[in-house]
Amino acid sequence: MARRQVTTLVACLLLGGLAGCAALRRVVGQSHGDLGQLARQSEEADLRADAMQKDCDALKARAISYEEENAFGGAVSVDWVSRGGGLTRRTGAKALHVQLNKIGKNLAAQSSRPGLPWTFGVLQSDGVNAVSGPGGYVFVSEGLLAQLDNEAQLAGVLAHEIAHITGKHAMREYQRYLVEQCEDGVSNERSKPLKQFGEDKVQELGRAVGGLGQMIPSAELRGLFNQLATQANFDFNTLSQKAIQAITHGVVARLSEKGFGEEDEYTADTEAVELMAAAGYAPEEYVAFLSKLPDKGLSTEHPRKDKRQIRLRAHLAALRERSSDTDFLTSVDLSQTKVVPLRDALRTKPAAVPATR
Amino acid sequence: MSLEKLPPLLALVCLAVPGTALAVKPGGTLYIKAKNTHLKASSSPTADTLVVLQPGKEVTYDSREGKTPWYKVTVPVDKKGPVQGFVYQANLSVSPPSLEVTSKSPDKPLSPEAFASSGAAVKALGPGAIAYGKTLSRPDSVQQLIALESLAASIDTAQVAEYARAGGLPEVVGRPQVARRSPAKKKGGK
Repeated sequence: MARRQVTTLVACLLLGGLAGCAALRRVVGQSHGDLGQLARQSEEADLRADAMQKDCDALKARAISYEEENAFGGAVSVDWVSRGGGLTRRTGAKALHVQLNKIGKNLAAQSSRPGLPWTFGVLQSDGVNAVSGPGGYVFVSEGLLAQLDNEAQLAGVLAHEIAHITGKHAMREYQRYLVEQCEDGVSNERSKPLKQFGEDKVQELGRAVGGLGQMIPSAELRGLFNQLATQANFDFNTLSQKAIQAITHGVVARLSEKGFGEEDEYTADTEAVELMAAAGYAPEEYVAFLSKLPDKGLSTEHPRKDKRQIRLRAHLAALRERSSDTDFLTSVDLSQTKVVPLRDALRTKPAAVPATR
Repeated sequence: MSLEKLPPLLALVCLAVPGTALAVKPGGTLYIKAKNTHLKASSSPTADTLVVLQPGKEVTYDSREGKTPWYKVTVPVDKKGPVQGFVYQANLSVSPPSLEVTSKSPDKPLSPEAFASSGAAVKALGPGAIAYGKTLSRPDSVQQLIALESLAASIDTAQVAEYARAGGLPEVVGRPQVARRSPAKKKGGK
């Protein structure tokens, strides 16, 4: 019994600190039977938490399959479409989508993931936005199209989003989110016996606030992370609707609030100008177009535009210096690039068709 | 991570000298980067196509055609032996394209070509995404996205190449077949 009391005391100190131990002092006042039950439950909870922690560790190292990326990317993308007011309903919407997909596929075919089934769409949103979904989904808003001076600028925006997908930036956020939620689950599991004593202070233990733990029962949560950690061919589509909802909403909300990391944005920028140049578009047009972007878009708060432009100009200058070497250094030949004027459906002024719903 | 000083510093160094660490000298290996890359008989976009290559294919870099964006390469095509020809600069890369991990072969990532023929790349909005989409403020987004995917899938590389050509852009993504063959390269040609 003494050993169990010590275990409980240690758990209390670790999880709740000194303030949390005020709860224990009150607990100690209860019968030895109650305290013994608490210690037993703590030990059982520790065992469950230890097993779950192993899953969390395995989760960090796992390779995500294309199928999982595509299934998750579909959920993210349908969310972007909904948030963007639906796909465009302007006059000639189909012709516009065909043209956008020709431009986008030409760029994506030269990316490091040319075999993805790429899909490009226009959102109704009036804001100047572009977003992407894992697996090959790219969206630009009507508001962004209205700001274009030429096709090269659009190619730059599409290429930037393509680079987020080829770099698996959103998938890293997905992975990070799952690991954090798993570790929150571990903390929650350990503190559960104390929580069940109904002490207010103890109930504040852990940091599982607003995450998966609040939407999914703990047994299902443990099963979910165990599946993720141990199944090489994990199928996102087999998750419960609540789990898909919680994960997708959690990641999209995080991307909307915080965006990608600054380095991911810079990487996507440099990759974008190289993809543009490889396709024959003048990359300087993308650098110029950055001035027209708002500081905060539909999805992300990007780094400062002027900082991005400075870095891109330095990158292009270095590419120009290197282009005359005999050694093969880069796919980019800036001397072969041009500004392509807006053509076909992109030249048509949008005339929105009234929504039917 | 972004607050740490070292990674941004390294990134800046890399940005300042792109490709320096990955320079490939004549005789070295380059990789085909774009879909349906045409190996041409001479350094011109209108030259005959000798063979169509796919992303990830290794080629040997022989030389550059002056200051042009055309590079002479040798390709091991088949049992008949290597073929020498010219590839547009944008279609070549110093590093291979990304490999794709699929659920059927999680321990053996696939090359772009193997991935394309694996069937995994056929996109359709999954049942999880469809069910999730129906809970959103605009549930019609599901049908809209399904229709958009279908439209995107209907656009092939020939249409993409045609669009690029019409805009005066290089036809980096070529047609999937060899349109013409140089008579000189034909076996037993006159």
